[in-house]
Order: sequence, then structure tokens, then C-alpha cells
Amino acid sequence: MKKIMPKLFVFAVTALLFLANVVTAFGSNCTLSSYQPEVPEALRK
Amino acid sequence: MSYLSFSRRWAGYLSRQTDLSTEQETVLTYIIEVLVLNFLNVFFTLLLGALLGVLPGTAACLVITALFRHAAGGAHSNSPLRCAAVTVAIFPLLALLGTYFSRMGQGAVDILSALSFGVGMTAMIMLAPVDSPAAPIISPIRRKKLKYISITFVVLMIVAAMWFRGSQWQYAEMVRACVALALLWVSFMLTGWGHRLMSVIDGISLKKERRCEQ
Repeated sequence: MKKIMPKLFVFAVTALLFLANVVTAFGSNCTLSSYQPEVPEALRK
Repeated sequence: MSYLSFSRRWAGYLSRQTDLSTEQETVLTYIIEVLVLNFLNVFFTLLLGALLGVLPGTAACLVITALFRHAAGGAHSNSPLRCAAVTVAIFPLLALLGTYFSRMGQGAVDILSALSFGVGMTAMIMLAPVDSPAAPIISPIRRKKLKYISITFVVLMIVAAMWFRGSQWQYAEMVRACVALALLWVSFMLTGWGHRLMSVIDGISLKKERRCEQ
């Protein structure tokens, strides 16, 4: 279990960072609701 | 950058576990906030829609809004709580209104759809994309692309509405009315009136939210 957890964290973080790039690549807006969290400078296009 | 405390805490924990840079931690904070807020908004909106007996219409409104908000943008609230209140209330309300229109017959839904597509197309051509200070569109090429995508979505909506018109599905008329109403709502949020409405909602006093500056 101790060996799996670090790999799981890395996988989760990689997936989330990838998703952040995908989400910001497709639109100006990342939410379907009316609140827009501040897009990080690195993801602004 | 300003984010809610829960997303900062979760991102901080994941960042410590995986030795991320500060920049990557900010991206992580952002995506956690987007995912959690959207999940909660969608869940409670669908729940209210189900309780009111208009789940298909509410789902249709959410899908249309998600499609257009991505490309066309629109007015934003500066508070997640106020935003959640607006989201959870407005889509089941549009679905109820859609149900009302669908009961008036196909002619009424046809008129509503024609009006909605006219307004929607005009709004997309003239106003989209509308960005916000929190998510600015920097590239003019990207701005142009988003406008084309928004216009394409209106055309796709027209095709979908025509397909639903001939469909035998029991909710087809209701969904058609809901699609038209959702498009009107999205178009309204692109206008100055939509921005003023959000400013008024932002002016409503709520308990101060906990935020972390990064």
C-alpha cells in the first residue's frame, strides 16, 4: 500500500494538470455556472 | 491569485506529496476549484430539477449552457455562493418555463425557437466571445476562433431542434423549448444587461467567504 500511494498521487496530479490544460484550451470560460475562478498565468492564451 | 481555501488546502497537500513547483500548484488549485464547484452546481441543479419533475429539461439547459459558456463566455458573479444560487435556481426555472411552453403546443415552441435562434445568432455574431478579468482572452486569433465556435453551436442547435421536432420522444417538445430558453439565457448573459444583473446579484450581502491569496 505504501508503494502504491505515491504513484497514485503522481497519477492524480498529472491527470488534473492535463485536465486544466484541456479545459482552458477549449474555451475562454471554464465553468458552466456564473463564477469564474482566476485562470493561472501559465494557462492564459 | 485568489482561490477558495478548500482548493488551496487540497492542492497544497497534493503538491507536497509530489514536489510540484509553485506554478504547477496554482494550476492544480485552479482545476480543483473548477471541478468541485462545477460538480456541486450540476448536482444540486439536477437534484432540484428532479424534485420539480423537470429533470430532462434541466439537463438540456445545463448541456446548452455548458457548450456556449465555454466558447462564448458571458457575465460572471464574483462569488461562488451567489453563482451557485443563480445556477441552481435558474436552470430548473427555465425547464419549468419550457414545460409550460411545450404544453401550449408545437406552434408556440416553434415561435419560441425561431425567436431564440434569431437572438442567439445575433448575440454570437455581435458579442461573443465575452471574457472576464479572471479569464482574459489574450490572442486575437483565439478570440476569432471562439466566435466561430459559438456561431457553429447556434447552427448545431437549429439542426438539433429540427431533429427533435420530428422526434416521437415524449420529452422532445419540452427539451426543444428548454434548448431555446437556455440559448436566450446564454445570449442575455453576453449583453450589458446580463452583466448588470450579475452586478446586482454581487451586491447582495452574504456571509464573507474564506479566501486565500497566493
